[in-house]
Amino acid sequence: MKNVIWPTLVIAVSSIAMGCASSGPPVSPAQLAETESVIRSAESAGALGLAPDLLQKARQAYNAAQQASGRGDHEAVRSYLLETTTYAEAARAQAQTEGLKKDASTLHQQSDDLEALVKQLQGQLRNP
Amino acid sequence: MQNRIWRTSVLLLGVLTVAACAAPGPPPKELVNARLALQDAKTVNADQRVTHTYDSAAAHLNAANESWEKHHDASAVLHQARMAEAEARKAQYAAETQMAEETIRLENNRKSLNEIAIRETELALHQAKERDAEIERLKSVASERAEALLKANAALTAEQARAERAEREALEATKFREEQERMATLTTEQARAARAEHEAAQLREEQEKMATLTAEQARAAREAAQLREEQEKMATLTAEQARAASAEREAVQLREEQEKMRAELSTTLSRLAKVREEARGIIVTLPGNIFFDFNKADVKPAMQEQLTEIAKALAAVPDQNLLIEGHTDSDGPSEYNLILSEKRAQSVRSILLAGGIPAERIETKGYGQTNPVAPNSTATGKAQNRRVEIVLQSTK
Repeated sequence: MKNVIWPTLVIAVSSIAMGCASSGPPVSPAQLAETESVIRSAESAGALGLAPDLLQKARQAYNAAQQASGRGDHEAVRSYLLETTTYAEAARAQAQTEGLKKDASTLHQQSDDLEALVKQLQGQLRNP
Repeated sequence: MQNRIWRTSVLLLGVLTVAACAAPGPPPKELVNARLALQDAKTVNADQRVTHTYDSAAAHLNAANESWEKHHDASAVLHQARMAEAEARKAQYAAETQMAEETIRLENNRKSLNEIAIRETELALHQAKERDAEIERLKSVASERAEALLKANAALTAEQARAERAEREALEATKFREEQERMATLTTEQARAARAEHEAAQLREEQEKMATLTAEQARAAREAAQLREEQEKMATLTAEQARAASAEREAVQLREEQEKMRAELSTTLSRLAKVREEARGIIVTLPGNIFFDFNKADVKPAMQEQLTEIAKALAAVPDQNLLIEGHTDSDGPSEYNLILSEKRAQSVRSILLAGGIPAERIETKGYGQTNPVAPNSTATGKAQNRRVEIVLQSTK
């Protein structure tokens, strides 16, 4: 339990401290591109159709990061990029989950069909 | 694990309580979304499946709550809330991904099992089909054999039926022939019977004719016989008449001769003895006192010659039988007289036999004193009663 509580407290405190502190070093374009690639990855994973809300939130956060970068609020940029990455990863996870669910449903349906076929065949075997 | 959850829950509750008490108004949308996201994550057991991410989300939410309740730092609240929401969704979908992967794994296993089952079942079905096909083949073979057997049986049955029919026809033909033969025999018998009947009728007719003819013949024969009989009777009658006439003539002649001979005999005998005629014939009386000695049966020798002459005369008339009767008078016992009369008749017979008269013409009888011709009261009468009489009886 201590392992959970203390990191949480540390994170909270750090966040508060970051919010109260002044902007840190600027975020590099590579970091922005890397974050955007995460969005693209989510989109490639099918988030456009399967996780549009989370993908939109990721884009909003990314837009906010860009706006913050334009303002020179580097700390906000980092925060928004972190949110963007987290939302994009969530969107990709949701897309992946939805795909898996679809696959699972397909498999379930296939298994049901196969099971029905098995029953049918067994029925044929029992009653030729 | 439960202890950790409990403590986390208590901590969150405390943070929320403080935040609620310190918050100036309703929480922002991002914080609400974060809370809902964390609840969704917990619903799918993200706290157990993806503990790190879930804990991070929970930490972000705590920070957000704390900032909202204590520091009222809007940007920090929003950032922590969004981070909490994003982490919670990551945890949720990571957990759901695990669940989906488990489901996929299970479904794949199930699918594999079903595919195996399908293959096995298809194999079994294939085997069953092969078995069924084999069975069908065997059935077909059996059916063909059964059909062949049925055909053979049908052929055999037909052959048997044909044989039975032929046998029946042969039997019927035999019966028909026998019937024909019997009918022919019957017809022949009937013809023979009719012929026999006809012949019998003819025979009867002939018999009747014969009977009629016989009857007529018999009648004719009877009539002929009767006629012959009548003719014979007539002939007999004629003959009789002729014979009667002849006999009558002969009788007349004989009577004349007899009369003559009788006359001659009477003449002859009258010379030798006393002769008289009665109804029973000529009676020659030999007086006892002349021909016999007293109380003697033998003829006197002197009279034997005369008696021999009488015998000769009698011998000349062969148609006369002689009955020699001895008689006495009443003197003496009658039995004695009877014997004496018989002895004197015998003595006369002996002399007549010796004189040539056949013995069969002579019969003797002694009467004793029973037939007197005169009263015995006188000597003359007694002398007349002592006698021997020769009665000449005609034989015709």
